[in-house]
Amino acid sequence: MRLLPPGTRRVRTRGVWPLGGIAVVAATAVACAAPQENHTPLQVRDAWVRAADSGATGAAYLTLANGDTADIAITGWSSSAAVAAELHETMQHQGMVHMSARPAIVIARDSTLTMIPGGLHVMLIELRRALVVGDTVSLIATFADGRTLDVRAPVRAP
Amino acid sequence: MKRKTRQRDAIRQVFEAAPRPLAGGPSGDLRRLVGLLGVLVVMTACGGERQLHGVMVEPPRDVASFAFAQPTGDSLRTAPIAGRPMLVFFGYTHCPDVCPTTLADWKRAKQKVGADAAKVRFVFVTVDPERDTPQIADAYAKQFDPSFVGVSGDAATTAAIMASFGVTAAKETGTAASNYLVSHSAQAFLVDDRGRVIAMYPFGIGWDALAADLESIL
Repeated sequence: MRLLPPGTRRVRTRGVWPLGGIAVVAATAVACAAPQENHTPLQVRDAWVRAADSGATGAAYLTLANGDTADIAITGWSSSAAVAAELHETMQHQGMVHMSARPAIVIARDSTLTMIPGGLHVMLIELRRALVVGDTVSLIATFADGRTLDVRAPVRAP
Repeated sequence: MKRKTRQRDAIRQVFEAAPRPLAGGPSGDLRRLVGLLGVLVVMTACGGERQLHGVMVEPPRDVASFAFAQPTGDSLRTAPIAGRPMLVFFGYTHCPDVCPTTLADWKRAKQKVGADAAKVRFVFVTVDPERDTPQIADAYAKQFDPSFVGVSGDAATTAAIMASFGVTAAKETGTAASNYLVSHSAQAFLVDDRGRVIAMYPFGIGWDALAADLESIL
């Protein structure tokens, strides 16, 4: 198993491959359980999740850089740590803040999607467990073409 | 007070002049910069009156006092206590982004101020008492700092304290998973030890501004 430097995320690809490909991948996965290398053109940086209690609402933040020649659309999120995960954006208007769900978001080629407090974030709804500093949370982004990106995000102090 | 108003008007004129395009190029910009520096020098020289980094409320605005039942069985009263200013923020615990960011900023400001910050009463008031019981609200605030207090009143108390601070909140239809979300006023209020709001901190102003102001008033 290849050692990945800290902060590097493993990426699996699934979905639109031909059946034969799936079989090969499945066989490989069973044989050595080795993570696939990044077959998606997204680079993940600065991923973190805010510490929170079990049952509470959490938030994950990450930066995704699309170095590909094509746009990429993310159409879904999930996490084993929460009942549901959704991309939301905090908006401010005349001193009021509200959040808008962003069920699909396009990261144009050669551009970067940055999530930060007060802006875009992955809302982790109904945490299944307490997220404690030092813990790692798994997040999965699903692309419009069915591929997925597995992000491992460390838990940080609130 | 009049002198201050004049100073502010002078600053506003300098700033308002700035966005005008084609108003003299770099030399115009330079002139305005020199003008602004002049105003700042005058303000510094006059001194005396306290300047805060938050949005100052002038004149300071009285807010009513309220009592909230706490999980311990005690009640938290927002009535002023001499020597103990109070920071108040209205939010809800299902809020994943703005509320924890604000309370985390309070924690950083408190750490920066040091021991004196123990005099400050940090109060988180939920605008969602339907979901946030007093236990949930208080546990939420204490995740950030054990000295923080989270309170949840009944519907009437919640409405009354929000009205007193001029805060609004509205339920918004969320997604199936998030149930409902709450849009709400996101500024924190600094209340002096005479029960008057002296400054507001809009979301995103940064914890260092708050820390500097707490140091200034303590």
